[in-house]
Amino acid sequence: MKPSKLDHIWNQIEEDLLFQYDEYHRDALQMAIQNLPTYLAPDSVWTNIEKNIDNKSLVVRWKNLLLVAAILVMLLSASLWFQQLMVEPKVLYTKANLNEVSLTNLTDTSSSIFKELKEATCSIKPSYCLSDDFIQAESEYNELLAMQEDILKHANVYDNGDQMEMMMLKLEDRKKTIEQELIAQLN
Amino acid sequence: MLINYTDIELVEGCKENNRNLQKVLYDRYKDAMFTICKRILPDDDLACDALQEGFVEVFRSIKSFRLESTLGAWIKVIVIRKALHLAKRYTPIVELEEHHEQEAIHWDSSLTGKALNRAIENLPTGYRKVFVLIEVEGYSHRETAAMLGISEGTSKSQLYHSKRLLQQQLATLKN
Repeated sequence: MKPSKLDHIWNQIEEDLLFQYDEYHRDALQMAIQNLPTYLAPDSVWTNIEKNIDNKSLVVRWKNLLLVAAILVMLLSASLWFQQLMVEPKVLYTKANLNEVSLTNLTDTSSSIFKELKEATCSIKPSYCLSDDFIQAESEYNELLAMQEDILKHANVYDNGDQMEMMMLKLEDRKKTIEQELIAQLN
Repeated sequence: MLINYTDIELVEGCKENNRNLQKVLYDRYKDAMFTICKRILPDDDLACDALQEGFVEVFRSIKSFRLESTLGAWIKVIVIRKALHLAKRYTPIVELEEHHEQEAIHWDSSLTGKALNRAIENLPTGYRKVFVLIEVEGYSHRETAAMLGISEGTSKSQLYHSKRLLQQQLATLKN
């Protein structure tokens, strides 16, 4: 049997009544909560709080001092480190490396090394000695030597500028590569 | 008169470590906060410790107070956290199964604040904390769960069980 419209209305009324009943009882709890007793804080608590604040501020002051000291040490170390970084590359590329390389004797030594290498190559591997690769390597080597000689001439005039020295090193690098390639052929 | 300072003036004074204004602020909120501590920690000494640690924390961190809530609400959260921390040391909260079907609890209309207070004092600490935070202090289940480090479901269960226990306590006290 389908519930009639009247039954439905009664269900609604019953729900409302139950809700009101719950609310009524809830109100009783809320009333009691509002009437819960309150407590007075003992006077001794403030004295302890004051002592703690004083101690904390002392600790904070010391902590701040330590923090400032630590920051100063870090800044000092960082500035020293940066200073070292700025100076080191100059020494490495201009003075230390170039002092080791004797610029004046460089071209003479190189040409005698290449002569020895050529003789050895041609006696051990005559076919390679006549190949295009070898001829190209020899001509490049000679060009490098000529360029170095040219730079040396200018270096004497302009008192060894940094860029010229760097160029010398680059050419020297390339020459070494060619020498190594020739040695590799001999092996 | 010192009592007439606004909360903002008190905060500014406390930020400058003005001892007089710190005392005014303390006097303004001490009893309300001690009452909360006493409800969470019925033991007098522990309640005093919570109040003390709470206000030390208040004065220490007042520089971070941005007036996003009322001063009282901000202090209350700090003090409650201290009280809960102390309570945790003695009785850790027990995770209960979530209770989905909760029957309505009917309170006697003659229930008095004094009787309820006695019953609250006799509740186990875990139940007492949840009941006080939700029903007395008006925090939501979500806020309570966050403060106690439990799930919302556990908070609801604890509240239901605490009410049941309270009723039993009240019935015993009445008899």
